[in-house]
Amino acid sequence: MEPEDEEERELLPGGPGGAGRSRPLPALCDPSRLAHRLVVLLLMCLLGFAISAMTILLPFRPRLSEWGTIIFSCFVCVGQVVFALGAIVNAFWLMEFGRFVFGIGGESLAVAQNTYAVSWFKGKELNLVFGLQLSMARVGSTVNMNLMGWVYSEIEASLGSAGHTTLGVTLMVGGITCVLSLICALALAYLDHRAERILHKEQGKTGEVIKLTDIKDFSLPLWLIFIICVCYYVVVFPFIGLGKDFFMEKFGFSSQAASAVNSVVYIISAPMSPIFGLLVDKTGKNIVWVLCAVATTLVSHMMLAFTMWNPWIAMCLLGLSYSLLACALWPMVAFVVPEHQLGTAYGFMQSIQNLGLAIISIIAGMILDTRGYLFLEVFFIACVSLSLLSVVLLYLVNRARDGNLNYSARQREEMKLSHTE
Amino acid sequence: MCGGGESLWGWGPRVPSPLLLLSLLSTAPLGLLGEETRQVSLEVIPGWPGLPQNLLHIRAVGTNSTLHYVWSSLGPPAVVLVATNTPNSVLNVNWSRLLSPEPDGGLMVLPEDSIQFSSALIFTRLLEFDNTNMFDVAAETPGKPYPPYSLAEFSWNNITGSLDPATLSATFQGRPVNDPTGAFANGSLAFKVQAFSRSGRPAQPPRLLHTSDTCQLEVALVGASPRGNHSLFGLEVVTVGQSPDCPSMREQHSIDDEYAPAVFQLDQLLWGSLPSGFVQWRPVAFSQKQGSRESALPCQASPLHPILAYSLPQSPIVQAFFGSQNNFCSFNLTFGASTGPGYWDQHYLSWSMLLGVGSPPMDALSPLILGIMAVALGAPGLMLLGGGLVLLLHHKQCSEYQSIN
Repeated sequence: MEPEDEEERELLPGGPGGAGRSRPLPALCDPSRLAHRLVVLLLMCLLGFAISAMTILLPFRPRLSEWGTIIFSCFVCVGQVVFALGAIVNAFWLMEFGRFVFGIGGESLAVAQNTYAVSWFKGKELNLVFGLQLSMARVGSTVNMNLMGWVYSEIEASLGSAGHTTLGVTLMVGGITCVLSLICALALAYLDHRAERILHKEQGKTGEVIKLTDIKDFSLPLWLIFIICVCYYVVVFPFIGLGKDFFMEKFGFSSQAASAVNSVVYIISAPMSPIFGLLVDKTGKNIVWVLCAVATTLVSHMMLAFTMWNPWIAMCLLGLSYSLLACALWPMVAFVVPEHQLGTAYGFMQSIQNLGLAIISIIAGMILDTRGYLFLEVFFIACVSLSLLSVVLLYLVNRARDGNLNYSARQREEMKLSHTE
Repeated sequence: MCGGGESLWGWGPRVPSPLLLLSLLSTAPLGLLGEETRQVSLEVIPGWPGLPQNLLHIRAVGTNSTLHYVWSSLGPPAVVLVATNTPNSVLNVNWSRLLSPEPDGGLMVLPEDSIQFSSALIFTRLLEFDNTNMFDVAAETPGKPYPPYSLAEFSWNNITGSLDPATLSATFQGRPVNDPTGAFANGSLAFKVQAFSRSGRPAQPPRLLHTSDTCQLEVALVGASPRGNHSLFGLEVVTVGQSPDCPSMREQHSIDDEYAPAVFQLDQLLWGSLPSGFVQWRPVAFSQKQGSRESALPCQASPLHPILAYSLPQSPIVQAFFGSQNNFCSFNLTFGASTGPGYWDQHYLSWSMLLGVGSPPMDALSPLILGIMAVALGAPGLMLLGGGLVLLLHHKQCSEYQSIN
């Protein structure tokens, strides 16, 4: 909705939508007011927090409605409970099944978040909302990392034994955040339904219909962006998953210190994502920023592999470059893909990213068990190098074709103005 | 991690110096008395008939030096290490003196003036600690100690049966003579000794790099019943030296854990300034025969302290070679922690060490890693350079056309 419409509506004493309302709603309860939107934003962030606190990713992107959100939230809760039960009765297959169910709900819930965000904030504070959602998700991951270990040790102390029962009980406790997610989904569904009723608004169309035949239309720069994305993220998440032991063994950190330094990537990306988003918006030149981010990650991994320097430095660099890459890389897809294929492109990017993460996580574990951490780090350096190669190639291809990926912000404004004339 | 005597960061003050980086890049470690290969012979010296006396003599002959390792289970298991500067030195054993109450002079390496270095190691006691309710890993002792098993009161098998000339190895296997609780009814403590004629690296973890100047000892406790649910085992090791100072213990931290995954440390015991004898091990033990990351136990070494002769089980071969005036220093090795894998998993524990003379062998980065790094760093740079050149040429061609207009 355009801001002008909203102001007009607020001037009318009769309230919006011409529904013949006799008295105006208080600001917090009025869906057209900023205060109410902030409440909704809070709920969306909590939804994301709760998901990320237990997240595993699975590609699945159907069309959504409010009921869809609630159903997937239930999937998340049920999946987590089954996962915890599997740990209590010491049945690994049950744990795997629980994670599978969780995954079906989890990723779709992320899409629901995006849909809600576009529906409520399109044309207004959307960039900020995406940044904040990412921040909250990362905060959730951090809290998970630092809290679950403590919860486990407390339960271990009270139950008197370490083992699958303790693990199961810990996971049940963690499942409380999934219940929080379900409550948020219910609240959002109610608020969205109410807003629809009051404002007579339609779901913001984001062109999310997936047509797999669109894939053959993807251009070379887009495929290069996919490669950059996959090769980059497989170096961050699996590394953080295996990082705690690395810091304890190589640098002699205690368990708490190792968890802390491991989670610093997420802690840094929480405040820095919006800032870098603003930076990239103001300066443009996305490819250069992506190049900086990937090169910084390469340097960070080389520091961790080949020196004994304090790992805080390398992990802070990793956190900064991770935030920068997210802000600079994902918008590039919108520059090279027409609007009607955007859904397919983002969905595909997400899918292969998750596929890459799944495969590389397994490979990383195998490498670690047979060849140790140094070899694992060298493997990650090779992946980052592949990503760097793709960025360089993307820059050259873009330059050769006079593409628009590396325009500065001013050039983009000029392009937009010349198109509207 | 370990409480060693001195702790030296073997890689400099957190920045690898160029010299160390160069040593990383070197491939084959030289045998450090200058010998790349040696002729190794194993010989079980026969004692009195009818009595299982184990005296194993390993003689490693190089072009101008010889190393003698005399392993024995007379009394506690011990090894006498002698390095000479001639390929013709021999070991002289006088059994009647050796078995008498005054064994001085029962063991000699001739000619005596060719001896460059000599020392000994004695494994005196098998320790056991009760680790239940010990969640504090930083505690001084790993738990309440049970009465230790004195290795002087073990009975050992006849090693002639376990001698393997192909792998140059022999195994001493023993159990307590008096075992009232039957703890060793189905178990034993084994010392597997292996010599090497050239440098190499075994496939068995922890894959210690050896040279021809070293021999390897693997201590394995198999099948013995622990006296508690969460028992941690340990070994008391005694060093023999001429000087009143104890040998120095060093922890070498490095970036390289290729051959022992997740173990970034190498512990060394040095008898004096190089070149002299050394003992080298990785602070890790394994609770499974295959030895993998998930069965790895941390190994803690206590600091070395001097110890008086009368508080030790006497080793006849040490007294035979060195006489009565000696300086003994002892340290304890403890295997395992309160959480994680432990002896209780499969009633198996193994730990390996290297014993040798000269400079301890150091690991270097494998060629595979160097190759991957070269490609990973070189390829993007080359691509950028190449692509930039192509674009520049293309741009020049285009500008030539424009000039006609």
